[in-house]
Amino acid sequence: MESASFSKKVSVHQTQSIQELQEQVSYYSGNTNDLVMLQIHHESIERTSIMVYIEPLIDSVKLEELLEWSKEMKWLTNERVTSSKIQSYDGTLMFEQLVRQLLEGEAFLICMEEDQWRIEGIKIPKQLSRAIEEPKSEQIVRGSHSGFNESLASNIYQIRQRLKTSHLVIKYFQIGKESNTTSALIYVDNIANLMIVEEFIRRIQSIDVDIAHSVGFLEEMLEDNCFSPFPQFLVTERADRVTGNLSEGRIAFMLDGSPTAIIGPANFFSFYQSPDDYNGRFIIGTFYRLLRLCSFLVALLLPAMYIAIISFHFEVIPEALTLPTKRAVEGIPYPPLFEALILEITIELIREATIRLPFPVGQTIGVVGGLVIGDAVVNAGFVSNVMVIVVALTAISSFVVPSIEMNSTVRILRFPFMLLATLFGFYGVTVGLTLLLIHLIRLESLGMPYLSPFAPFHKSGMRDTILRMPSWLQSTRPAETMTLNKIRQGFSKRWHYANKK
Amino acid sequence: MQIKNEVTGWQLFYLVVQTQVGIGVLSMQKDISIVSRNDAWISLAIGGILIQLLLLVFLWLLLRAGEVDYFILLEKAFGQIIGKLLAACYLAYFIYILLVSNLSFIKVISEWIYMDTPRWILMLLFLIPAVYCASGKVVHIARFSMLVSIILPVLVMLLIPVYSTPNYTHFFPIGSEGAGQILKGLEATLLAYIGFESFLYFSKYVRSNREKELKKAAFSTLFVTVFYLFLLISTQVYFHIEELVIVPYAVLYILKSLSFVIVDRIDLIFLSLWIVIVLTSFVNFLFIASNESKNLFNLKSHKRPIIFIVFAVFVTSLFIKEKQEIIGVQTALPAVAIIFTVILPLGTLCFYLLFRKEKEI
Repeated sequence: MESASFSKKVSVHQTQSIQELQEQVSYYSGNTNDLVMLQIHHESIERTSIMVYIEPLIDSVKLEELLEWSKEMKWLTNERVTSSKIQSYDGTLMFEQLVRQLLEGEAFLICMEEDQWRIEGIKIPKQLSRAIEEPKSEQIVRGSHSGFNESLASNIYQIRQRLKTSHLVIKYFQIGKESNTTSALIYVDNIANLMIVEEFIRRIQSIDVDIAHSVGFLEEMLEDNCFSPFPQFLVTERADRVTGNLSEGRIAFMLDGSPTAIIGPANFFSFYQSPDDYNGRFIIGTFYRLLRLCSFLVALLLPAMYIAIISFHFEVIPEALTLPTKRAVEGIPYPPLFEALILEITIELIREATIRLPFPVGQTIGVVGGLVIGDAVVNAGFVSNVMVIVVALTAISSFVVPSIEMNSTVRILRFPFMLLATLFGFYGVTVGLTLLLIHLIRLESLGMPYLSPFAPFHKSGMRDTILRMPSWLQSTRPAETMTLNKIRQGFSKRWHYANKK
Repeated sequence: MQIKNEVTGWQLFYLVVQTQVGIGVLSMQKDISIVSRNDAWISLAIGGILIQLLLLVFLWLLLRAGEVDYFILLEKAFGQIIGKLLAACYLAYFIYILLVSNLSFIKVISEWIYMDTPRWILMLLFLIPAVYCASGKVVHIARFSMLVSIILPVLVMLLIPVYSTPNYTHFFPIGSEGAGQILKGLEATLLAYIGFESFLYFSKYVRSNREKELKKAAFSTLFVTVFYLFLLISTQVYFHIEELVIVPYAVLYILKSLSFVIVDRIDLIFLSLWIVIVLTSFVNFLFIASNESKNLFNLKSHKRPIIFIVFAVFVTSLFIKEKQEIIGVQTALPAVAIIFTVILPLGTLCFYLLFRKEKEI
């Protein structure tokens, strides 16, 4: 402490002089060095005022402009001015509040006038953010290529641009005792079920962390069952995906500093939808969606089925295939599980290695890992070539899933299935599948069933889960969001029938 | 948000269907054919119709009794002591059913695929998912039953190749065994239909729009009858009656002989799928039994009784190893089943309704 007489004051009017005020502000902001306190004199008026701000958080060009402007307006005429950027406070302002606002990029102009403190807060935070670009993990062929960036304001701007409705509600929450990160809950209040919104808010409010790193970090605290391998929130960096889900009655949650939005209540099938499905023709969209759902089964079960057949049920292979398979498998010294594990782990290694490398190097690793190892391992007689086919097919199928979360889930889940198949054959696989199915049935996202259009069964839900019906036929919103506003649209093909008449 | 602990009419329909369709499907053809010979299908049809009528009577009585748990009804109808005693008998009956279902399933799977795997492992693999499923809420079980019903049409499709070379002469002469044998066959038929009474126990979960929804579900046995008839006729078309009385699992034999381009031995794949169907009927009975014991012993949750019941079933099954012993355990089933699924429920419902009427007057 600089002086012996120093004592902690709570609000501004408890201090007597500029000198004391400076000490207090400096104390409350932890005597940090980037806190700037400028003394400002003006010739026409006889008084001293100080300007307080945290330098890196302030847009200095704007500060200059505003200072000039306010000098002309206020310091000469002595009138108080408020604008969208300038806010007046009086002496009752708490120091804690003042410092918090300093940290949000506000500059304060403080002066003493007739024994009264006059405080002007000027909001000029520096806004630096990445340009709006296509998210690398969710690239699509057709449709909008814009994605979120790290600035919450810019992300909300993108959503508001797409949904210009007065029903779009954004609720801010401060998360993190130390980081004070702004987060936003976004929903459309005449579509989303407000009971679910309330539940979401209840969960957000119970978050008690020091620092909110990212959305993924908070997701574990918000989701219904964090011990489940399945993601219970849809994670996306695409604005069009968020608006699409908002219009179906789901709720999005975003955090300042994270380019990702999490969307709930999600269901299993929403992870298999891609914006591409809607931008192309519906037959093709349906085909690719079915393909993706089949790829889930292939990625999950193919190695397990192969192991089960090789080690338990060889008789399932039709006669014509028996000899080639037998020949391939015969020379291998290991049990099929070990064989599969070698290859699976290799593929996981290649994936993990290439993901952080620059693109050209990554490709080289892919070639070395995939082609060279794959070929050599068969020639060396460690792994049968049928197993290489099986594992490669599985790997490709697991990457078909549009969502990265679900993709990792599938890749993790196939290991227990392989183990079950080794130990108990088809029976083991079925038992594993049954457990998985029961788990999925019991799983909930924000209290809504996860396997929704199937369990509980909704006939109308099929139109946009395994199939992708023409958009003019999808006139109701999905039932799993429990929306009260079920009718999405009218009949857009009326012209067609009018022509016929 | 909490899910309502409520079941819709269609869900109840599939709950009842899945409780009925179990391991019996595989051995039913032989059991009925031994008694009614080539008129087995008539026995099956008559049995189905009778049980369907019985279910309609249940429906009629239930709608009058109101939204009550069947086991509470027992107490209300016969007084607390006799009611509790009867409920305890029911619990024993359910454990018996679970035991029989577990044993016959393990018998099929260890005879057909896993000759060398220890029985206790097969049992554990069967019981673990059952415990996991039954410990959920009734909605979860209903959804599971509904979802799993997709497997039923799969079996129908797999059996269609049988009709490429059908031999309809196997049915003739119709009625050659006489009415006596056909009616005798009903006893074997009943075994396949056991589970229809789950309508009584699950109906209390149907709350909204009760009359209409219960009516939908009451026709579940009609569906099961048609399904069973299809299976039986398919096997009768394929096997001569002299073969049919020897072949233990006719459907599996048919599937074994069929061969497709991509896979051989569909019976192995099919039996693995059928595990799930067997599991649902086990789970449904387990859920009923545990919920009943929850009421009986005034417990908070139905999870603890599940562990006890399954443990009892598991340990008892360990001691019954020989084929003859397993068959011996099953012999009492028809008689016991008639008491617990036909006589007692009818008696209870009538008694309760009469008793209540007197009170009102």
